[in-house]
Amino acid sequence: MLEVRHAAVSLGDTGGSRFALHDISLSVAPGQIVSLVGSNGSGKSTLAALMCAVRLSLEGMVVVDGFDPAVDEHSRLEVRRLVGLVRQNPLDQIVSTLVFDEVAFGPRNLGLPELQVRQRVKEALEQCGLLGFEKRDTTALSGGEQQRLALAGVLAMHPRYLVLDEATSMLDSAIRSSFRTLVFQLAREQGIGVVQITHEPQEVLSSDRVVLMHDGELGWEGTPLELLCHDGDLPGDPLRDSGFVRALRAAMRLGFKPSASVAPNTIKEWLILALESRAIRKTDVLSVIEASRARAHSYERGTVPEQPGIVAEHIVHSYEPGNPVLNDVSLEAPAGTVTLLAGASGGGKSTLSTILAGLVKPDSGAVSICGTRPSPGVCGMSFQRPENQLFLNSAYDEIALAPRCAHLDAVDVDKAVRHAARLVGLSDEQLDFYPYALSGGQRRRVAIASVLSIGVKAYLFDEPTAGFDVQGRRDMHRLVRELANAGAPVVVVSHDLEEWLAVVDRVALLSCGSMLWQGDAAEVCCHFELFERAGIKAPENAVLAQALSDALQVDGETGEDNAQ
Amino acid sequence: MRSNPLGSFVAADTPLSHIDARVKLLLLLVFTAGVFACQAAWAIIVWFALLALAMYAARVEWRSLVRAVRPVTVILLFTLLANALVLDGHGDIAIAGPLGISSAGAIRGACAVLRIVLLAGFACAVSASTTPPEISDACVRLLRPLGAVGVPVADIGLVLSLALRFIPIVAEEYGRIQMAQRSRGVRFDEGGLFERVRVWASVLTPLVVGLFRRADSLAESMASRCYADGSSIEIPARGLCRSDWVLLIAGIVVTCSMVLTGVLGW
Repeated sequence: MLEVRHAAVSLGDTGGSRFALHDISLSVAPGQIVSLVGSNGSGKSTLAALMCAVRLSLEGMVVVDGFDPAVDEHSRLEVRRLVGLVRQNPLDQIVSTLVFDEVAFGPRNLGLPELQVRQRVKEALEQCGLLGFEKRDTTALSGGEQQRLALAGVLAMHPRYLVLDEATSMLDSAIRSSFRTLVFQLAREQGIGVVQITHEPQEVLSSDRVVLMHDGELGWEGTPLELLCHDGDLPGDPLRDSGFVRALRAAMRLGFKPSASVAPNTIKEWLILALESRAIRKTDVLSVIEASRARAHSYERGTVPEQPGIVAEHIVHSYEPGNPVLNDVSLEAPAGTVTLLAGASGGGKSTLSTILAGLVKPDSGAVSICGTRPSPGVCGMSFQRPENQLFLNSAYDEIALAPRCAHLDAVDVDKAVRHAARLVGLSDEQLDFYPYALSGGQRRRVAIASVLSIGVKAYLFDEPTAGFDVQGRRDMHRLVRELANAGAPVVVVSHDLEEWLAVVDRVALLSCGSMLWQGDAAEVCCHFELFERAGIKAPENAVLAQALSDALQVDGETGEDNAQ
Repeated sequence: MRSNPLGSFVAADTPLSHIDARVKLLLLLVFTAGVFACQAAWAIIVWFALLALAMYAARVEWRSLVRAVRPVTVILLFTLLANALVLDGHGDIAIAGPLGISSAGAIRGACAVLRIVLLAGFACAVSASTTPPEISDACVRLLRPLGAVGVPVADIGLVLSLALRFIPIVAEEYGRIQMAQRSRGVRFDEGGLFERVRVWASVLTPLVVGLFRRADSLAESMASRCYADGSSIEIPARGLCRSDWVLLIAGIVVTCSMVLTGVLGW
């Protein structure tokens, strides 16, 4: 049993009166999957560090199978062996250049003889589907493979518990679900207790218990089913904004009783059966379809202006000769609309966006941004995790960097800064802060404002909501919509189709350097085969809606419903 | 994405790639000493013949050698000129006033330049046929005897391996931050010297801050996998095979005989 009893951790190292964690008690049994949810900054990662004995609690205690890490060095090492930690970013955890050495790192630290190390490495790689990768270079692996490697490195220590700190958040949807299945198997077949920190509704729904954290305290605790019955009034509830969950709740109101893990197909079968036995009416099924599509917060659409947007034609680009990253790619993002550029990782999304922003010159092909040639002053681009690019002493200076570089006078600079800050929702007091003294979410706002203040004609956002909670995501969606409604063409690069489908107007699917499909966001869900070809998983709400529509043979309206 | 700064590993099945990395590193050391120990001009020709052989065995083209030498061209040219030019009027070929060229100096300079090219060439052949992990592994194994006198060889190995792992990551991060700052309107190609230095702070500051943060997370991850101070990792021994021994001994014999020939003045 992994137990946390009345644990507290103070904010900062001084042991002041403010707490990052306050009076937390929690237990995880072997074989159990517990989801730890809550807003950014609610203390989830601190709790994770506590459970792995990477940090020690100020008050209270942590006990893992009888070992308390606070007692002595030996117990601490024992707890670290018993509780494996997998983090969000593979770069933060992979220490070796060779796959074999990486997995052997833990067992070697335990002082095991080489023969046993080899045996463990082989087993762990086999469990994670990486057998035969022993001699590969870790940096040459894909993101999904690196994350499985990180898991293998932990499994080779034969842990009894796993702590996954947003371990799937950087993976694209198809890889994410296979990683999820792997974790599920480990819990069910090997009795490993799992604590997963997550913002993903699907992960929350497939766990045994959900623990919601709020401001460093336990806010709520229960089964996923009880969380579903709660209908979205809890702070930091990750189930709030998912179309699939809304459909699920609609079905539950009709009498559907979900089991441990709910697949779109189970809901569909139940509804159709209930319809046939006349327990529910056709309009009830239609209401479930409607719920899966309706947005919790519908965003206003502006009128689309009659002016050119972002147009890229026949782009070819390669980093090394004979191995093109982009192969004859054309893209159109009209002014006044939001275009989602989606596809599996490694498909060329980031390269295409740097070309659109005028930062990289393509080998051939033409780009036009609102009728002019692309250059940094014309198309503003916010990179992934832009908060990592801040370097000045105040948020104000960061946002003022671009207008100052354009040699505006002080009054205009101030105007530009205030305008950009207002767009992203930063208060005047926050502008005086040292950027690194702000929270992660606010820092991202500063970084995005520093791209907006340049006064460009078009915008590009690369994974702007990565690592954000429900509220942060919603704010970002609104910002993107506002920029488009004001008449600018906006392109959002993301691998998370489900999150963005309700926000964007158009979708472009990029796969292996080629443009697979582009068109109206409402239409993409009518072409399920596209998702598979693009290497991404179809959003579950779309799968459900489609299955129900097919079953009812309702069609025709699909497009219009989604476009509203 | 970008070309790796160490850069030249070619994933091909070349004869030299089958040789143990320890042998290649040792021979690189031996040849380095040999190249500088042999004074005679004929020795340079022999060394170039050996280099051609090594480059053939690693399937390295001469073009990659040119690329490897290009960054130090200025230094090489300066070396050549500093040796060749005389300012006291005693030059063999007078150019203008006291300025002249000394032929002995020119030969001395040319030899120095050729030696650098030789070293770059041998290093190219090694790095083209050896993966970075093999290099770090070989270093640790070669250092192993020092463990007996208390040198923390395992820690050095870990540091080496981490450094190798992070070189491409830092390079990529650097490129990305620079692009991000360009998209925020920072211009890297204009302004005076002072302005340009100031502008680079916009890349280096976030890069270093990011690296510190990454180092911190990495240390936490390592601790959570039971890495503790003084936890010494046993490196399993591995013998050299016959072709490794043959090459190593042949290389040492050739170098020694050349040095001896030079010393004895033939």
